[in-house]
Amino acid sequence: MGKNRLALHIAAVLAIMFFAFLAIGSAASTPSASSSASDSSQTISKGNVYQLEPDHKPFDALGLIWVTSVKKFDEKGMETYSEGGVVTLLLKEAQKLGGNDILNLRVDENITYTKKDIKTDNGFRTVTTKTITYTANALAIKYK
Amino acid sequence: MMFYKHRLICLLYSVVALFTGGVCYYIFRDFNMIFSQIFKLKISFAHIRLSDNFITYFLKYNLCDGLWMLSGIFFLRFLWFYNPEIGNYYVIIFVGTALLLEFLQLTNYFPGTFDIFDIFTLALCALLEHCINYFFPFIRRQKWVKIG
Repeated sequence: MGKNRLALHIAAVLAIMFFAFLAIGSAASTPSASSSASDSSQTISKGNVYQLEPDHKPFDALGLIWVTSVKKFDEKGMETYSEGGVVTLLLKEAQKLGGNDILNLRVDENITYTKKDIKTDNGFRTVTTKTITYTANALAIKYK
Repeated sequence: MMFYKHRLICLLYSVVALFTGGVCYYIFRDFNMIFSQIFKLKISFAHIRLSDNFITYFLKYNLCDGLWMLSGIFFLRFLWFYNPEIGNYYVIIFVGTALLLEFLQLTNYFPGTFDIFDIFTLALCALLEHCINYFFPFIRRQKWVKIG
């Protein structure tokens, strides 16, 4: 009986630890900025290349086009600002050149985490926000 | 045998609440969480976009914590089903730990963002479990009295 109760105590403590781990693990995290200053930021970059399949029709290459689009997220990860999708922006740029499609899409993604101390009723609180800057280029084409 | 069945129901509630909370996290959260870094999870359900209002905010950021809280309490009730006095102590410790972890987010040394609605949700779930725990035996007793 004593052994059984001890097992229950151990199980209960383990259960509390497990749920505490769940609570901590589900918190939003950002890479810790290396600077010890209260306001700091860190950027992570990556690039992607997309080979778009052209229609089986002859086309003229009009040249490379570039666009930049920024998206901002608050500390909860909710989008607060967006300049739009890069593909749509590239198509608009292609249209300006007289084109009607794009090929060879390359997108650079720069994610910047910014830590900022904001003043609250209880003192200061660190708020981390995320800004994603997409820089994309593609070949504008015009189908004949 | 009757009590054994009720004990298993506690375990079932616990598993269902844990699973539902996990699914909510998996579907609705797209910001990188500590979990995704530890387990290298590719959590990306960005195509599920919820409009920004109080209910979706609650669903995304508060309900999951509340469900996990409920799951933990039910699991402790399952463990200490035949000794509810000790079970109550563990439930109090558990609820206290959950609230403490939430309040520690006010400091800069603890991950996460303090949210007063998290506190309300945790308290509400603890209260809900207390009501279930209190009223179910009460209804059962009433039924037995009628039968008797």
